[in-house]
Amino acid sequence: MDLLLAAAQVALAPAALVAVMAGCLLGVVFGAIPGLTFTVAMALVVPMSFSMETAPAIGLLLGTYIGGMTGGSVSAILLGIPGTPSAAATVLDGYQLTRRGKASLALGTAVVASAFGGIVSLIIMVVSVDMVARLALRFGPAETFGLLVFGLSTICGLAQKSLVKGLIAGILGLMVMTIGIDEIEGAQRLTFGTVVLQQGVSLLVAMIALFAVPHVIDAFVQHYAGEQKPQEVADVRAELPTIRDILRDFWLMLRCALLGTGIGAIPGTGGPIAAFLAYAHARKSSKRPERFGKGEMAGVVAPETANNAVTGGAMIPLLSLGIPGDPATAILLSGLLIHGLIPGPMLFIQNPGEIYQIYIAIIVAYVAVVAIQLLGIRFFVQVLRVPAHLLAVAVIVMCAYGAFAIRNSVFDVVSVAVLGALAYGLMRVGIPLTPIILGLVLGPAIERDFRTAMILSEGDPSVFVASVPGAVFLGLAALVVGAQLLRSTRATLSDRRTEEKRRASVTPSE
Amino acid sequence: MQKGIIASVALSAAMAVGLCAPARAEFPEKPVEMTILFGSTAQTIGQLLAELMSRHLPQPVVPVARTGAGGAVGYQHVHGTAPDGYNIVWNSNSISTVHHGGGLPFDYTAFAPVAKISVEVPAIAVRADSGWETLSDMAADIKSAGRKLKVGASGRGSFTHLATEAILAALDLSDSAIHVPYDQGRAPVELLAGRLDAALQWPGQFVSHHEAGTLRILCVTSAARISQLPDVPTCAESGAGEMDIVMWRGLAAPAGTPPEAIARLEEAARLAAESEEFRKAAQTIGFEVEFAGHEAFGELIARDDTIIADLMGQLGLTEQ
Amino acid sequence: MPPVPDAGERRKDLIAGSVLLVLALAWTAAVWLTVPVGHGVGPRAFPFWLGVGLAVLSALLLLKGLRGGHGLDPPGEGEGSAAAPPVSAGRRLALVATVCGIIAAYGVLMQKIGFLPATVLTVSATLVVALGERRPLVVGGMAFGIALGAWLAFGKLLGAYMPRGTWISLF
Repeated sequence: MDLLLAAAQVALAPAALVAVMAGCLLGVVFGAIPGLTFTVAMALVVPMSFSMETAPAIGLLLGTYIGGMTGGSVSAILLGIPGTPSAAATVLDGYQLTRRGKASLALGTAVVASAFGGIVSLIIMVVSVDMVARLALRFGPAETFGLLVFGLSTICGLAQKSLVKGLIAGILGLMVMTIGIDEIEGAQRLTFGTVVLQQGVSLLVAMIALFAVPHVIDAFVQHYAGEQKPQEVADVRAELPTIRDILRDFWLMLRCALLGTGIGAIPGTGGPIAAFLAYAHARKSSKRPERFGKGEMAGVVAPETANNAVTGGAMIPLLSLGIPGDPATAILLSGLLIHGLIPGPMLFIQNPGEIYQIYIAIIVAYVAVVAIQLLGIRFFVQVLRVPAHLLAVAVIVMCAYGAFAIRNSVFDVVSVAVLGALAYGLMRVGIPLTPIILGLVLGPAIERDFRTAMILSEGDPSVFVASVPGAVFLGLAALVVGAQLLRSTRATLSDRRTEEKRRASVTPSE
Repeated sequence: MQKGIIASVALSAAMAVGLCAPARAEFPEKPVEMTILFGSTAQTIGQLLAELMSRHLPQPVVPVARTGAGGAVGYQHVHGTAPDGYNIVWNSNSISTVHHGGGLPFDYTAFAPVAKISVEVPAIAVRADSGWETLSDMAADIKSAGRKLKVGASGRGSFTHLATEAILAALDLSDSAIHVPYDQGRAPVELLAGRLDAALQWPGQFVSHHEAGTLRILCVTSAARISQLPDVPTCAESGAGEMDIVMWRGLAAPAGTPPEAIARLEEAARLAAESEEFRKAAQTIGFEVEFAGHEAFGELIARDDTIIADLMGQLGLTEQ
Repeated sequence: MPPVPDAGERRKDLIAGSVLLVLALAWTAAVWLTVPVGHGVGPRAFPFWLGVGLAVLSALLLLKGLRGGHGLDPPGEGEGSAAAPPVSAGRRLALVATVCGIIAAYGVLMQKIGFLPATVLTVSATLVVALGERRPLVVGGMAFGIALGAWLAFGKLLGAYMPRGTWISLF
């Protein structure tokens, strides 16, 4: 208890509080801008933290991480362009809500859901760090592969109109990510002898291309069509969700928070997968699944709760085992190292005080994030007042610079242009874009885990069903795909039947 | 809005003037860009070095991450810039592994060495309950059991993979081992969970587990013990015969950079590397500060290049 | 909304199916020819089977487009499905090319002449060429406002790296 008080004294000192809040603000801004994610922001703040005391340094880094995770929802909801891959699932219903004039409501709900997810995951972390870490150990490559395939199977749910088109989209996403150096054997794949292609397509670049470029083109097309869209300007009131609104989805939020924490604890998975699984879960468990994709609030709540719960989940292997689950936690790891905190089992024994400081900093960060975003909403929604085509020009600059900043590479900006044109083409012929994102997110991990598992098992494929988690997840995936196939065949059959009937009824009258 | 624009124009103009004021001094007259090739700790060390160097130069050294393709992307960028000292690269042995692996059309001679800064020494770890105290124990056990040793390292052709293969060859285990490629951070988990028998990675990943008594670091691959782990023997002591495999990091500029600029950067790098802050970071992050001037560094790069080329050739990893 | 897939829908399936099929075959061939087999499940396996998968699926889509066969005679504009605004296909294509060309050129410019000048140029060119904006105050205000705003916010306030320009370097 003394330790906790001492830690609180350090972590709540003015300098530390300012650092957390500055980090949150930075994170929210970076998170909101496509391409400039918290990974970029954290790489920027690490040098700033060099000269700081330990507590403010930890606070700055954690604040940036957490702010960045929640900030992604801002542009996802307002513009339909996710700020981070973790917010890609939020676009589905969040942007529809904006189009229905409920932007501020969606933004407010998103940030509250985010904070809820984050705090729940923190509680789980505090209570059961050892247990969860031990559980995460059981997820080897084979088990993770099962989980990822299960994640991929949610494509079936996202491809509402045509299963074939949904699958095509998913495969395209998976294909794009195989370009470049193969990390396992160092082989060059489809680089055509160039160095630039060796770096492969960055997930963020692909995401900007998929969401932002069609958005810009559409705005330009609308401008030419002379179609002003008054409804977008109409309603920009800063309407905040009431406690009752939020409590309505309480159980959903709790389930999604648990899901996000669990997924975050498994290295090599991360926010986007958690968000999509949560979205799929929300729709499955909803009383009105047909309203998803058309502006259902639960479709914002679920992914936002889950992707923020990932932050707490990812801290579990990071702190207790010293394993970074993604690039952002890898930067966090080196930021902690610089200040003499070596994550791993000894951290809890040698630096219990700092562990408490981390916990407190996370809580402060979530309070700050909620405050920043709730206050910011009235400013954020002003974006909707800007005429769409002028906003599109600003989006071009933002996204091109965002794409550049990922790896400080012009190749990435040019990739945005090329992939963007392709994405627009796909959209025009009715290929859904969201499954592409899922393929992009899961592609590298699925291949890596599959091949590593095969190497470990010396070529024996039974390894994938040899353990309980692996078998369960693959079974679930098979179930989802099977059910969808059945449904779509039945739908086609009944379609044909009604068509035949229609023709039969039409023919005599001709 | 209008006022804001005017204000920002005025502000930026003032800033621009401020930046250009101390013109016509000696090198450097503008910020020096330090290209960083890898993320996580390599990036953190590079950022710290850049910050410390900036204190000894009239202009800042700006760390810019250009990651991807095992460093090839960043090397190519710096290779393409003017040799005026304003573009340097935070390089490592990766120049040799990437070139010989077929990822880069040019080799280390495309760069002028500035200074060697640090070395990192891989360590090989096993589970504490494996009963193996030395490499010899491990080799004997594997041979008598007639099974294969599953050993984790980064992907084929990476530095840790080369070091692994060198150790396996020294132990005569080359044919009874399976290399399991892992992206950096996951090796300790796989070891702890029992899916791997051994892993070779940077010691920072193992230290905490080593102290907690769940993993045991058998040895480090350098010729002498390292300051971070004074009690851990070298691989030579542990039964692998002669062995000195370390990864150096340093700074290089495009070939043809004027010697004055190189001397200036070298001096700043020396002061940075010898600072107390850098030493402290070395202890916590887990690397050894080992400064060497541009001449000695150049010789080291050339020597290492032939060793790496040989090793990769033997393993069939070189591009024909 | 007609309950049965209309001619426009089928035409889209035909276009998508055939283009993707060609792409899939080219991809699969390129993978087969250039990527080494490797050991066990090597580097070739995944891209190759993905290519095959795409080929099969796009063939299915093509088939779906061909079947139900009233031929491929879309009445009037094929592009003109109910929701699309009345913009001709040519104009639309030109806009796609313009937007993507602008983004690519902007990226290259950024590297060559630095962030500020590249942004001013890009924004004003976009407004004038692509959007037909002629009011100098709007063009100038937008161009300088966005460029300076982004430069100050990202470069100065947040300390992110801004490309400085290799040809000329103003800042």
